[in-house]
Amino acid sequence: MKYFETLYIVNPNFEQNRLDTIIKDVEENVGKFSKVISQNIWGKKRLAYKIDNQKYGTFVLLNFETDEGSKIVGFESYMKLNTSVLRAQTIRLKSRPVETVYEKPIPLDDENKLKQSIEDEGKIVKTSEDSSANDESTEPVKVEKTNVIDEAEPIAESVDTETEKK
Amino acid sequence: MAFVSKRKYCYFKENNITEIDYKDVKLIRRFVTEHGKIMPRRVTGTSSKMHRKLVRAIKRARNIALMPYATVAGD
Repeated sequence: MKYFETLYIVNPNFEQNRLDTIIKDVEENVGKFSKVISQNIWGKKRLAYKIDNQKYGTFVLLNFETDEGSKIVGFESYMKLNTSVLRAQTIRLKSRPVETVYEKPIPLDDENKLKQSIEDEGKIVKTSEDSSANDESTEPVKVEKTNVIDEAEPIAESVDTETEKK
Repeated sequence: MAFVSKRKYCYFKENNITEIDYKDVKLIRRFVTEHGKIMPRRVTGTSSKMHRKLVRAIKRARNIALMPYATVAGD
């Protein structure tokens, strides 16, 4: 069994219904030759650079396993041609993935929660082991109202100016 | 080269990290300059094996827009 992971970006302007249909379509397409292990919707995030003149995007993480590695080419081309998906990246994993939640979308209304989450940022929260995720209908992680996360963090490293000038 | 590297130890070896995930932007950002360039190994002090894995992770993160390719300093 080979384990793969796909991270793809969906147009952020879609409502929840349309987003759900897109995710289902992708899941169907993958399910033809493989078995989906888990899905994880990160929510709306700020992109490091503009893609298709969009500054934000909805990230979705998809883990699946298969023995037919050759059929991934077809899946990748499907993602490429799909206009609602801005970008997709598929990589191969060495072992079965454990579900971990890296980022959680935070409600910007609540100031206290926002401060707490900024402190908590970077903490890896382990959800349950994914051995029970063998159901056909994998429910995505609960996403609160899709909100924007601004990562404007100063980088701690200070580089020698000598090397930079060189 | 007339300067000595700041760190004599590999960050990953110190913290027993064997695999680097491209989604872990917090960890990867330490090894990138203000402009978004990858810092050389002689500056960070990373071992060569981990540096190769790190570079692979940085490039993957850049591809999926989690990290920039280049920025203007002060952003």
